[in-house]
Amino acid sequence: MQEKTAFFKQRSSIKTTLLFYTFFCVLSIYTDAKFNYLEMIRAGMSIAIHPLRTVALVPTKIYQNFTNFLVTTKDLKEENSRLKEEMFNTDKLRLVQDSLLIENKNLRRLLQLGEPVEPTHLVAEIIYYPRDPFSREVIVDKGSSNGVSLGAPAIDAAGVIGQVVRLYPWTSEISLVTNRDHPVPVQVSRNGLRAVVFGVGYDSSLEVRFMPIDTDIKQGDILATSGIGGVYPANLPVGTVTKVDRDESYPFAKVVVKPVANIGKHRQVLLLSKNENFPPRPDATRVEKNDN
Amino acid sequence: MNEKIQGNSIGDAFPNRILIFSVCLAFFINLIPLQGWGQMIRPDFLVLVVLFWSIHAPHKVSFFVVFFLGILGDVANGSIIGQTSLLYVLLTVIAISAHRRVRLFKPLGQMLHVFPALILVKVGILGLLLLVGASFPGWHYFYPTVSTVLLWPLASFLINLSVSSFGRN
Repeated sequence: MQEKTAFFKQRSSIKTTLLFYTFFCVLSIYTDAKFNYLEMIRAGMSIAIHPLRTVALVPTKIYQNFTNFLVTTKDLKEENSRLKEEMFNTDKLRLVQDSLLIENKNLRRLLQLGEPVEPTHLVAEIIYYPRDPFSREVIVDKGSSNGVSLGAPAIDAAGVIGQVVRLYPWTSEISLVTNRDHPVPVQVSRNGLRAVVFGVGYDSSLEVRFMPIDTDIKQGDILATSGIGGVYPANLPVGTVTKVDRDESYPFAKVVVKPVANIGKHRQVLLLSKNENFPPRPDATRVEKNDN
Repeated sequence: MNEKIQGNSIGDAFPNRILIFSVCLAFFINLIPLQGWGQMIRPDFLVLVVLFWSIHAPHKVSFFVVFFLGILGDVANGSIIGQTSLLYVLLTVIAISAHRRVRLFKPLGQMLHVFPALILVKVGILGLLLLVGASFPGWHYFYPTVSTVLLWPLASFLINLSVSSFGRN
């Protein structure tokens, strides 16, 4: 008799526990996917595991130092000559840029346009790629204590990488442009056409949505940030159009874009400051009144 | 007699300090950052440890700790909070309910039990995440499952070895 009760007791308790924890897990998955309520918990726990995380970086650091140690003189010489050549080219460009900047400043003053905002920047190092297969993100070693702000754009030498989406005291999380539904307001460099590029969740592919099928957009067009929206500064390259599919049975053209930035190739990113002087959004109620 | 039927006497051979140490070590190894292919196929060591203890010492496994480890894992991975907890909790429940049967097999036979359980739970979680708006990440979502299962014999050998070397009081 005793055995029987013990047996049933264990079974029912495991079922209750299963239901209890499954309910909590499903609830937190739903809440975290749809709302922002769990960000405080995430930030707190992230700070709590930060020391452990720092120690866990040691094996990687040792491996990197070891591979750096094994670099041959030939590789170094090649890299050196390549860098010298690149520096020569950028020096040339800088001379042109200096004169253009002065010209631009004078023209803006003549036309009485506001001073263009020069974002300050901060070099951050990618410390790791989180193992979540559902998102495209990187973690960098600069956080709110270094002056990074939430929503700050991140770029590399070639173009836009993404945007800071989660900010912790010593690290921050950058959502890459390839992350699913990550929007970047852009302009086609050739004709100034405005569009919004979205990530699709795969590396090396972005898409422009909601463009009518007769839009003037071609394969090879370069898309650069438009500066609209106030997050990304204007004229940073985002991607090149690789394919335009104009199927007339759909209302919109399918535009596939290849991102220009390649975060797999280097370890440093540039975090730009957000445009703080951006004018506030117009009041919705006031617009309604004006209409009437 | 009663104690023998419950099967707890076997679990008592495993002291708490090895359990705690193995969980901490597995959590730490999971935190080590990797890149490229290493990242894509990296096994989840906590799954191995949690499964081992659920099978060999089910009365010592606390559901709250398993749940909490999952939350910590999600925070560390930057993923949607709750998915790893659900993985660990479901695996623990499956392992505890089947522990008497699984214990009869050698590590290779146990692998054949671990694999379907892990795949089933991973598919379930994938379905749940697709429902809340994630996109299918590709087949590499299942690579860690395979690598984790392949490490099962090694993991159970190592924990058994540490128990026989340091576990006896």
